[in-house]
Amino acid sequence: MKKVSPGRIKSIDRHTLELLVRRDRHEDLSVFTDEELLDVIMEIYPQDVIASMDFACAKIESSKKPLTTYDKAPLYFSNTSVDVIVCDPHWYYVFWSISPNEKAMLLDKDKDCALSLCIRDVSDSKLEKQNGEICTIDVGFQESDRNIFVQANLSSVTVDFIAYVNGEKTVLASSKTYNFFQPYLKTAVASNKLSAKQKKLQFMPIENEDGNLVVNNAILEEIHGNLKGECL
Amino acid sequence: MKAKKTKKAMVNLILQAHLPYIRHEENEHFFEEDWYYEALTESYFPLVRMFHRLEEKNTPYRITLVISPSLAEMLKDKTYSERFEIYLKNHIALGESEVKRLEHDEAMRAVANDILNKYKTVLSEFEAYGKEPLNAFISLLKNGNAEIITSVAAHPFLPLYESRPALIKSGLTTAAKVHFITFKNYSKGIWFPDCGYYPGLDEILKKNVLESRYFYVSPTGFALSDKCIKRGCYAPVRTSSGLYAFALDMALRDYVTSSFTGYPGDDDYREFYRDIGFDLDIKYIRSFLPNMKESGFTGYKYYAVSGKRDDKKIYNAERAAQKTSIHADHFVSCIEKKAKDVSSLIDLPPIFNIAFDTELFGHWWSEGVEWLEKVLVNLSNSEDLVCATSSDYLDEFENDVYDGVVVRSSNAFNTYSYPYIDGENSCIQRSIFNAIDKVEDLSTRFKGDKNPVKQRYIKQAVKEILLVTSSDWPQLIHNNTCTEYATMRINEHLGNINKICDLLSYGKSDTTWLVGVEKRFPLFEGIDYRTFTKD
Repeated sequence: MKKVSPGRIKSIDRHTLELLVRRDRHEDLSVFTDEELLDVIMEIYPQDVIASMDFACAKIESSKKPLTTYDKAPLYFSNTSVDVIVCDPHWYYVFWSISPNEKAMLLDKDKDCALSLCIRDVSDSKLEKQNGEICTIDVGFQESDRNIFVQANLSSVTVDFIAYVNGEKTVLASSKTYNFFQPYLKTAVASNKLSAKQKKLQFMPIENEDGNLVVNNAILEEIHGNLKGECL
Repeated sequence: MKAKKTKKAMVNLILQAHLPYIRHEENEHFFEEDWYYEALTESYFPLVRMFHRLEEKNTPYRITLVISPSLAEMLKDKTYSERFEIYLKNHIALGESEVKRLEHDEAMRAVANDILNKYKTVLSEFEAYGKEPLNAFISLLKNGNAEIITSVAAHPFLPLYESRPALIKSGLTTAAKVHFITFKNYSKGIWFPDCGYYPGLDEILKKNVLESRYFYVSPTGFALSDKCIKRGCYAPVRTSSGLYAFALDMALRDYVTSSFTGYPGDDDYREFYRDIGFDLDIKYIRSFLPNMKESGFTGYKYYAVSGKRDDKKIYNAERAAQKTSIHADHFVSCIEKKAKDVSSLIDLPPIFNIAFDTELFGHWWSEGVEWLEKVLVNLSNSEDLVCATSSDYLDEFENDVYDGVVVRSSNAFNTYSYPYIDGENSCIQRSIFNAIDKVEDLSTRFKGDKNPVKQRYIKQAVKEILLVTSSDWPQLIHNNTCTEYATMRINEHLGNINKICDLLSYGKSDTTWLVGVEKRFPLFEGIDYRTFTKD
């Protein structure tokens, strides 16, 4: 691939680079370096357009009149962050990003800096033990998402995005906390405290004539399986 | 004097109507728009007709109709209406051609003729409603038998966005506004798309949509609660927000929707997949459906479910009608039996909340409307059951409702978030979350800004966010149906948001472009972008 000269890098500002790339790409561009953005531009624009790129940018600048005088929106929206989507109480889709500044800073301090995700249960009872840490998963700088399966029954889940710089742990970002409840039904069945009336009442809306569950829920299937044979 | 409380068990039949917002004015004929025309022809108009028929016969009935905000917008859209008229006329022309083609086949001609008459009837109704399909639904409000409630903006699956309350808030307030503008009344309850619920969602609802009293949840939201819900799913619970949660009965619904034993699979019912659009020469069909390049559904289906593909019997309407009676009797008798059982277990008359997709009736299940009519007639004659809505229940028993905790749940496949997040379609959420954050930032930053052009940009950005978070896109990608279209829509909305952010960060404007996208998605006009903020 033809490489862009250093002179051109200086001539196109960061914001314009992102603007040009966004016409084709919708991901978080803040994680790209200027050089990477230029490489993308080389891929998506024909050579003749690239040749006249300085001119094209100048045209964008001059053809639009300002709306009015006001605070501009920020150049970069995305920061270092970690997000979680709960697929079910044991399966979390986790995705994260690290801002270019933060990334550069970390690598500057420690070129062998490592990143990881830490799944924690922040419910009171679990916090006492090792800060509620359930598991830690190492991730690379090039990665940005993971499907994480946790076997344990968690109560209040949070995911920390962590950097290890010169052996020291720094929490870069934390997700929202997601709460799960220990089902009364499960505890009552385990301790034999569920009345026959309650057993019937709880399963009537989800059990068909043949005694099979019509909903696909692992916890209820387990409880239902344990109760099968009793008077449901 | 207050009326005596009913002792009968209540049956709340809920029909929830939603279609993806697909509007392509730039294309004379756009394949995916046909989903809407099919739903109008086969489900919405026949259902409204059936409800009016019950009223004419003085049959008492109650029904809960959920009309999603995006569908409400489609129902009043003039471009859609103009195209719907063309759609109907094309189908009538096809029917007339079919009747002629089948002049020597009496049995098949009779079936074709029935379908032709269906299109003619819908056309005359469409004209009688002033060529605005919304008026058909509004006509149901006059007699007060239908309780129409709303859903959420463009139908997002809300648990995905639990960490982005601004989106939830905006989706709910937009829905309430669209409902009020459309039906000139407040929505008393709300249907969360696919009943996707997480603890705290109702707090946002309560705070932002003051008029709503109740919402629906999956029965797993009750069954997996950490506190015993004493009346099970057969009475609502009052949550900490003060709103009432009604749980659905999935076992009763299963009599209809089970893919193994559901009524629509009966041999005598019409076979959905056997359509002349696939059976006849494409050259012949294409002449009636302009711009259609490949074989597809025409609505002309002459065979019954019976037998394998090449060994199907010709559809017999009389036999199918007999089956609808049998199945309606069976369904109501099952509810009666269950009502007796439940009544012996709880201290209040139970309520059975049974929800169906509206498009099941008439579209997916050709005889569904007839079946539903018979169910409603049987319910009106039942000594043990009475039709009611959630509002009816609360009007009678609000003071008797217990407090309860509803947990994370949904009607999705695994009762949580699958398949809206399935490993394959998950990656789209990163860009969507990023876009939500951008729009939230813009909305917060310029909350008090008076510049009307800037307000239009931010309003458009919020509209784009509501559209891109529709649950239809991950669902289509998961189903591997129209994946390209779903991906194209996601990219289009995200691209528009990026463009708005770019313009606003430069302090620039491109009004030609803005007018273009405003016209491209003419919905949610009452949207208030100021709700899309962090607080």
